[in-house]
Amino acid sequence: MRKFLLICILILSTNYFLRSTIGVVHAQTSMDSSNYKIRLGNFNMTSGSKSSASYNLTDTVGQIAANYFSSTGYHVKAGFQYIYALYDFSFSISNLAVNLALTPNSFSTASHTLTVTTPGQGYSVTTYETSKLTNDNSDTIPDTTCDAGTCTESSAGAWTVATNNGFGYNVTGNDVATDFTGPTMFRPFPDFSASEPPATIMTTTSAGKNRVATVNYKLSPSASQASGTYTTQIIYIATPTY
Amino acid sequence: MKKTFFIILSTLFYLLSTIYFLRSTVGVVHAQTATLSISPPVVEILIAPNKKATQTFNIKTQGDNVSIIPELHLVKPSDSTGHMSVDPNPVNLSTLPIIVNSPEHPLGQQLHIVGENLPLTLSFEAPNTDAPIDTYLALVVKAVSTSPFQSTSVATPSISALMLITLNPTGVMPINLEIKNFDLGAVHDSWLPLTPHPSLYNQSSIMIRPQGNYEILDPSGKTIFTLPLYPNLVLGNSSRNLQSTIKDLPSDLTWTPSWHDFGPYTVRLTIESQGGTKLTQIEKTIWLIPLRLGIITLTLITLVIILLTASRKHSKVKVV
Repeated sequence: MRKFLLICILILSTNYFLRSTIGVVHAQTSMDSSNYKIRLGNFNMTSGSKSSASYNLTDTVGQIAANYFSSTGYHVKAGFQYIYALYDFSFSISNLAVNLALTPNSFSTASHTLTVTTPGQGYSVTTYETSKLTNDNSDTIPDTTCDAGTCTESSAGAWTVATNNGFGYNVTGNDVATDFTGPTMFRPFPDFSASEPPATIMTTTSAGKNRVATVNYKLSPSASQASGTYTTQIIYIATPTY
Repeated sequence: MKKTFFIILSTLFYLLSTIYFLRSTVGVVHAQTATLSISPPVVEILIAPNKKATQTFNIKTQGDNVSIIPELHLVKPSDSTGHMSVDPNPVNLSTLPIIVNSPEHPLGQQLHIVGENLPLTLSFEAPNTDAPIDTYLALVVKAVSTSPFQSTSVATPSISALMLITLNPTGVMPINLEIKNFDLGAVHDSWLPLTPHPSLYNQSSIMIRPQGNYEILDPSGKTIFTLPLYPNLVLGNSSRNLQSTIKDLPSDLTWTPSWHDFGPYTVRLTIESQGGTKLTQIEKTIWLIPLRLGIITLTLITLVIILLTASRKHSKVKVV
């Protein structure tokens, strides 16, 4: 019994030692506690617009690289005081790869989320595909035209019948384009190789933090679609308003 | 027997405790995410010929196996609310009227900066020119995965910062502004708020950030309501919705009259330069009429008359 207890203590102490030394390494992007959070690289103290009867003043105290740079021959207005906000313009995507199955006359779906944080007066997110879904033999899967054959790169339509083959997307969430009125409303991606202009999928004229939209991809190949791995690249560009 | 039991018990304890500790240290594998941020998001540059300016953008990424590619694209206004459309093709720098360089990090090349800030400095050099000219560019930063994918599609997030550049040899800006959509009806019910939706069209090719006032004058000509206009930037050959400034933020041009206001009121929009010079002005006269109040009063009077008439008829019937 004494031996058993000794072994137990040995195992416990070894495991505890290992756990306390093999830690997870985090990138130091912020300092925080339960009461505060400081994002490094942009330590603002104050900014905004002050005025009285005799003066108008805009200021930013503490922000790196914010200034009204001026000399003989040039002026540069850089910094949040010109758009009155205290956080960075950021854009994230939850998954860079989208996998869809190639089952004839049957829907295959996948989704990921886009998150935008914007200062100032808003932003827009536009998208396009570099080409249609293409395999190694240059066979392509057409973009969807939806059930009625009327949806376009800038106008969504209902797509619920899998025998209406194609590849398309739907967007739900914050600030999404108004034609995505429900989960069955889909659009084809604008095709960059066919010189189609990018489509706007998220847009607003307000500042906002963590505005989230879910992009739902849907694919239904025809029965005669050649087998193979079909790929394309979907580009999303987040642009601030001026 | 006792020895076997002891070995089994020790092994079981070892396995259970190892599983417990491993569970608390080994993380879950997530899908490959990518986050990009850029600062400052919008830069206005006014530059004279033969001068040079530099601007540093702080770019930050988060995500495993992600590199970035910075590129310059042309942009143009896409609506009247300040949104821009980005040309999907990177711009050919030799076609620009100014010389743009990225001395430390060449544009169009892949940079690996995961979890770090990348200060990307662009220099702008203005050649000799006789006439002012605007150039609107976006620094588009693409996040590119460095892991090979076997997927149907690969999503590439990009973030952009706007660079709105005026090259001006004289310091004098060509100004040609027109107020549009200032369509007010001839009659307005004084019970309802009045909210016009005018826009300012910049007919010159040079951007301008005007200011101004939205005023309401009563029938005697006295100003009874004033709102300062929000100093939105209006790019060359584009329009921008006119908004008011309330607590430093843009808002609607809403005026709520009193329910009894009556007569010809003047609605005036004045556009000025940042220095206070009047650039353009428009006025519209609208008749404020307490329509709703009138309808309610008329209905009440009609009801009273009907009731009185019915009451008299009833009295006459009783007398007979």
